[in-house]
Amino acid sequence: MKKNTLLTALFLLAVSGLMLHFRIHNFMVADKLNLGSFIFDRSKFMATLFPLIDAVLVTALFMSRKTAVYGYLLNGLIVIYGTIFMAHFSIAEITTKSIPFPSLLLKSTLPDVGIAWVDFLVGKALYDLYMKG
Amino acid sequence: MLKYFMRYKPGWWILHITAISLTFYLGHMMTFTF
Repeated sequence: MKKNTLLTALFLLAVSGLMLHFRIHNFMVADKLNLGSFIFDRSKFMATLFPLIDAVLVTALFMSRKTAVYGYLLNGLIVIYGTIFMAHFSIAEITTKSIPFPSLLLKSTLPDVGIAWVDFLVGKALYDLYMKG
Repeated sequence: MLKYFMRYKPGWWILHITAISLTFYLGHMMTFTF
């Protein structure tokens, strides 16, 4: 069934995003002043929270035809937030680390933004399928 | 004036005001440290 395939793809993309954010920049950051202790980073926590909402709530909303429209809306909102914050993150990193501007293409989060939009498009395909059938 | 507000249901307004507020709040609280 097409629906289950798309729903699985949507869930796997969200879970993979969650795991990557959790591993690459965990919200518990090592405190440089007090060795062995950790500080809670709100911005990095958001990077974990949004994929978590994407994996749990968006998948749950997309399970039923009635709530699919809200899932589509929330999925779109999360992807737009992801695009803006990942772009902001890259621009901030490039400025602080003085990375040459042309390397923005490969060393930035541009490929990750692309993956986030795949998540949106899978959601769109699923929503269109619900509305058609 | 009211007829322009009544064009959309209260839920529509609540949803949009919440989304816009959340966007502004996130923009305000995001700080990136390297």
